[in-house]
Amino acid sequence: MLRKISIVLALSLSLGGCAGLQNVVSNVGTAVGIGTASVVNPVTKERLNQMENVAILVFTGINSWRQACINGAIPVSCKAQIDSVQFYTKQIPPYLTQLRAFVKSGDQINAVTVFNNVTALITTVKARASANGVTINTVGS
Amino acid sequence: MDIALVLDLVMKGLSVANTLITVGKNAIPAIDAVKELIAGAQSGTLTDADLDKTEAVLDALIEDFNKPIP
Repeated sequence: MLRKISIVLALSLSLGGCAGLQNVVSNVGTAVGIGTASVVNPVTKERLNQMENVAILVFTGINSWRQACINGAIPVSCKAQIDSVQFYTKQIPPYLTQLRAFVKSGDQINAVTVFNNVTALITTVKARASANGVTINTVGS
Repeated sequence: MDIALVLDLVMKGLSVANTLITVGKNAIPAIDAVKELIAGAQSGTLTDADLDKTEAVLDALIEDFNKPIP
């Protein structure tokens, strides 16, 4: 039986000011629309795993941005930009720890709340990255 | 298995790998994530070991990104 997942994500890194990378790093991506959890749309282990795989793709993308910044391949303003995104990404690990525990223990009330917090943070990270030229577009359900 | 869905994932996965390798990044986590998403298209295939593996990869990527820029 197939789980219905809608998959359309294009992650592109537009590294302004870096002629070498700008044309190369143009289209990275693939992911799944994470959606919102609720009592009628619970956070199963499969759904948790799906969301974490999407997050892997997102973090792989922004780590490439970070590496380009370290390599000096993009304008030095990238340091401040990445720092501003880290404000949000640093909030994710404790939520993930809680979410995994809630899902594995079957505590759906708390799992739903924390799942939605994590996905909101990931959405914010994507928006902040996009505002700095690293565009991650996710479409799906 | 939805063949069109899988082919779409494979094509985009190859795009991910190509781009990451070009910029000198390790493409394996992204490829594994795409593989997991493909596997997840079939229910009942997920094990606790799969969960643990995904969690470890994601944790490492987040930790990497959260390090201060030197």
